[in-house]
Amino acid sequence: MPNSPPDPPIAPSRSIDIEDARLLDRLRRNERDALAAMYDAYGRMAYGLAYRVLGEAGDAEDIVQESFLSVWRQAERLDPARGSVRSLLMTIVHRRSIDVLRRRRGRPERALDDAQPIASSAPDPVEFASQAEERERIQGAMKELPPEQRAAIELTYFGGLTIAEMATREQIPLGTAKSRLRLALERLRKALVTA
Amino acid sequence: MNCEEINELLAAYAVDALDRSDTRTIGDHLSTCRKHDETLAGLTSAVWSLPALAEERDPSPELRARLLGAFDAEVAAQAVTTPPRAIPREPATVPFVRRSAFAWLAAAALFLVVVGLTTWNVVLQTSDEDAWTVSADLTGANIDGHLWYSDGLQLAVLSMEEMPAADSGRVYQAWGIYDGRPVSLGVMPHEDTIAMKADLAGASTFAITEEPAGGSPQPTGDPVAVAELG
Repeated sequence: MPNSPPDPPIAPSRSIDIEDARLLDRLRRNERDALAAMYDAYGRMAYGLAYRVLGEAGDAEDIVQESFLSVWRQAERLDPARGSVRSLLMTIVHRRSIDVLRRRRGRPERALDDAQPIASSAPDPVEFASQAEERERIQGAMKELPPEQRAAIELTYFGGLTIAEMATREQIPLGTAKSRLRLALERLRKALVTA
Repeated sequence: MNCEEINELLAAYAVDALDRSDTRTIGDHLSTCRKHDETLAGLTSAVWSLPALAEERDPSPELRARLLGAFDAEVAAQAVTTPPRAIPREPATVPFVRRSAFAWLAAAALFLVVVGLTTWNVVLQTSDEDAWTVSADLTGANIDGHLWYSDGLQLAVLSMEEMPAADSGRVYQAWGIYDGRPVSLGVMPHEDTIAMKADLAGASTFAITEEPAGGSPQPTGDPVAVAELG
């Protein structure tokens, strides 16, 4: 449990929630145009994330395709109040990209179901006015982190290393690796909330 | 693991930086223990911002069409997975629509009109003695069935005897093998009889594998059943 009072929650964006609810409703009805609209809105971001992790176009495109289909297949049981469609999509893209990366390295995939939620009520950063503005704010927040905490995020989230592998690579105790990553995420969140 | 140990690993859990064993252990713990909800929600909120750090990129223009094509195929397969009667063993000699056993295909045609593939409807309304271009046994250690394929309809029909359920958390996925390269035909529902839109022209083999839920970009294991098409 946290040692300090929780940060104030990020206010949800009613308009985007409503848009997500509409999108999910259309996906549940197998509306092709809804999937196309979702792709047009998030395809470049999804591909950018997969490519950043994998560094290769073929696998990245396969993952983007399967991730969009996965959101559609799960639409029946998704609740937009528990997280935006975009965040779910990016979580799937990331998980699948990391799985491919780890298979390339000869390690078994993590085998987490796409549908398995990481959290049920995490505040979502989608209320930013635009994706460009959001990127600018997050990049700014990342720059404020100490270098070792930035590295913790880079090595695990984008590099696909486990926390134990990160500790080995950085030649630090496992407990230190856990702390760095934890502090990095907590500081990043605080920076985004107060920005 | 106790709550304190779980708490120490929550950040790594939030960024998928744990091995399979620890991920499952923590997932099981979190499903019954609410003490970590608030902490995990905060960490996950930060993780959800991280994709914005990746520069947006343009995928190939073909990706959008491939995605929508895969969607069309899966929707079509879903719509015709439960015919009212069993598929005859030798449909190659049976013309469409003339026999009541194929009444379900007419229903499929109606559905396909809904999804905009009107040419299918036209084809299905006609009699075609040579509609099925491939008829092949589908065999595997625990699967015994048959596959028919129509080039003209780009439709594959699978009839399997007591198709066993995939393992928990896994699904069956169909593949066409083209010049030795597997191409996904989509995730299959667990049914004994399945019809799926598929272009198997040029494919040497039809194969079914078991994959993680949601399917895989490439097969992750050996086929559980194959049908030689050539």
